[in-house]
Parts: sequence; C-alpha cells; structure tokens
Amino acid sequence: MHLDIVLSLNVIADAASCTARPTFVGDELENMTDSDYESDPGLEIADIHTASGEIDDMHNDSDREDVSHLPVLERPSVQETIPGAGRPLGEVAGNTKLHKAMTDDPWSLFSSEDDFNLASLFVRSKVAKSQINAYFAQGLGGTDSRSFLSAYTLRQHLDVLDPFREYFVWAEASIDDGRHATTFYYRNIIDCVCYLIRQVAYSSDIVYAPIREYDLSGERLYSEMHTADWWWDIQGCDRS
Amino acid sequence: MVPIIGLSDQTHLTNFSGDKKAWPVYMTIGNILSRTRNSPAKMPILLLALLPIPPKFTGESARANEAQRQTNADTLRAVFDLVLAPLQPVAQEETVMDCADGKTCLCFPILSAWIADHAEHAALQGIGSKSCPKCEVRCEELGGDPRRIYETRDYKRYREKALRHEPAELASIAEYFQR
Repeated sequence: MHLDIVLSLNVIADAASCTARPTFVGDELENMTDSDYESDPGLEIADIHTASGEIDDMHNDSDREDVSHLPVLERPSVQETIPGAGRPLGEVAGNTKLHKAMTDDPWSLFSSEDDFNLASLFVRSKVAKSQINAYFAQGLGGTDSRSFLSAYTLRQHLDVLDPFREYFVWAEASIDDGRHATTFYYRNIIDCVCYLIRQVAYSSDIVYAPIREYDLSGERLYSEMHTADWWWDIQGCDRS
Repeated sequence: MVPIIGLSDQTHLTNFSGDKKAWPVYMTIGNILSRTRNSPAKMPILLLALLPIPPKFTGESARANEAQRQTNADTLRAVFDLVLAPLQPVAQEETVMDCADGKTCLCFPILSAWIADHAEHAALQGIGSKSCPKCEVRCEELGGDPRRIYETRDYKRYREKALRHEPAELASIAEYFQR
C-alpha cells in the first residue's frame, strides 16, 4: 500500500499544474507511449511496415487481388461523444489548498529531497526493518538531519503520507451458521470508489465519459472500456 | 458513470496447520485507462474484502455434506449482500464525488464486470461447475455451435426465485448483521 503513496507524491510534484481533463484529441496523443491505445506511435510504424509489405506481396501474387479492404492504420479521425457527459459540476472544496500545500512543500513530513529519496529507496527496495534500524545504528545516515531515524518512525511517516487515507476503513463482521463462527473483513465499496477516482496520481489517465471512435474508412475502433458500447448505452439511458 | 470492476479468487496458502486459504475480493474502476489500471506499481486495485473460508467437508455422510454446501452458499450470499449493500442506493440515485482533476462530478457507480476464473464464477454464482456462468446453455451443448447466440442469464428470474425461498423471519441479510 505504501508504494503508491510514494508514487503519488512523485506524480503530484511533476504534474501539479496539469489539472485539465484528458481529451484524447490532437497533440496529447503523441505523448502517449508504452500503451496499447490505438495511437501508440511505435506500434503504428511497425504496422505500416507490415501493411506495405503486404501490398508488395499482392502485386506479385495475382491470386490475392480480391482483397477488398485494408485497415486504415491512422489514429481515430472521427470521434463521437455524448454532449454534457462527464461534465464537471464545480470545484472540490479545499482542493487548491491541498495542491498549494503539496507544491509549497513537496517533501512534506520529510525534511529534504535527500530525506525523501532515502525513504523511497527503503520502501521500493523492500529493505527489512532490522536492516533499516542497523543502517541508522551504524551511523550510515550521515550527519544530515533526518526526519526518521528508525523503521518505526519511517512507518509512521508513511502512514500519514496519503492525503486520502480517511477513505480506508476496515469493517469487521462475523457470521455464525450455528456450528462455526467466522470473522471476515471488508471495506465500504463506495469509499474505495471515491478513493480511486480522487487520486491525483491518475488524473492524466482518467476518463469520465464514453466515446465512439472511427478511423478514416469509417470502421469503428475499440480500445479502452469507454470506447465500447456498454458504457455508451448505460450513460445514454441515464441522460434520457 | 463509474463502472466498478470486481476481481476475486480463492487462494491456497499453505498445507501446514491444516490447509489455510485466503479468499480476497479486489475492486478497481473502469475510468482509469488500462495502462494505469494494469500497472501493479500504481496500485489501482484495492482489496475490498477477505471472504470467510468455509470449513472443510466432514465427509461423515452425504446429507451432512449437502447441508454444509447449502450453508456455505448462504454464507457467501449473505457476505456479498453486506459488502455490496452500499452500492444499491447509490446506483439508483446520483452521488457527487470529488474527482482527480479537482472538480466534482455526478457519479453513478455501477458494478459492471467480474474478473474470475471459471471455478470462481461457479462458486460465486452458486451454479454447477459444468454450466456456463454467462449464458443459458445446457451442459451437453457446451462447446457447441460457436455462431449460435445464446440468451444471457436472466438474473431477475433467479432473484425472484431466491426471494421466494428467503426465510421469513428477517427482511434482509443486512438486518441480520445489524442486530
């Protein structure tokens, strides 16, 4: 759980000014790498190569002249949306304050960038508690002021790092079928949804409305969940 | 709209101290693009519940096993009723949620998909392991004509059927837990 807390702070520091919704039109697409989204430039080049190879083959082989439709390997040229879907209602109360606090003191709780990087290293490389304690006991931490001097204080810092942690509450219930009593644990599913949709770290990768995409030849393109029909149908019936 | 995606699988942990198992249920939302949603480092999948593990079958008699199986199914249904109970009022009426871009939106969280293997689907939906969890196809027709479109399961009918068999003393399972 603590890995994403570290990660989210990283991303907030980078993308503090980027609060606009992703629109998937125009230049933004070109920045998207390492995705299977249909507009991945690397993929496109590879596909075009194979497609041109096929065309050459067809010139040589007269039996294959009846191939009627070659897929147009372009990014979606036509996009259809439901007007008003995913429209924001207003600002989140206290959001600018939270953002300002985060950008003013991005290493909050940790005394400096070095301090944060050390904590990040400990967490990411899964250093054992005893090793962290030994690190400080042997004086490897140096003379710099550290905000944490043991595995315990590091853990305490991590626990309060997540600004949305109040959504996470475990509930406990027990069920008794007459012969056995079993205890089980669960979270409120709505709070989990709130937590996920609130994550600033995902803000460049969140969509709010369905979309229909077509390529140049008018073929429908399916990629992500919001480009399929199910979402469109459900949202459409909600609106009407 | 916020499509909720659920995931679950029963996991065998150890053979020692009498076969321990865990049964985690996870959830994520479809609004997150798949390159983030599928990235383990970004932790977009949350642990929603740890289901109770039913006790082992005693093997005393076929009748005892059958009773145990029935109890297990009832327990599972009760637990899911409880865990998914907050969704019911919210899916019908709109809720305002804070979004990642600092704006508030009208949100309709709807449970849209459940990712599980076949054995898990069969266990969750209380069907025999030879029947299809998605559509109404008889077991002897499984793997039949791929072009034929089978009717998807009509869950309303199952619900009505289940409600008729509901023991009368309590109105709902949620009430059972709130006693």
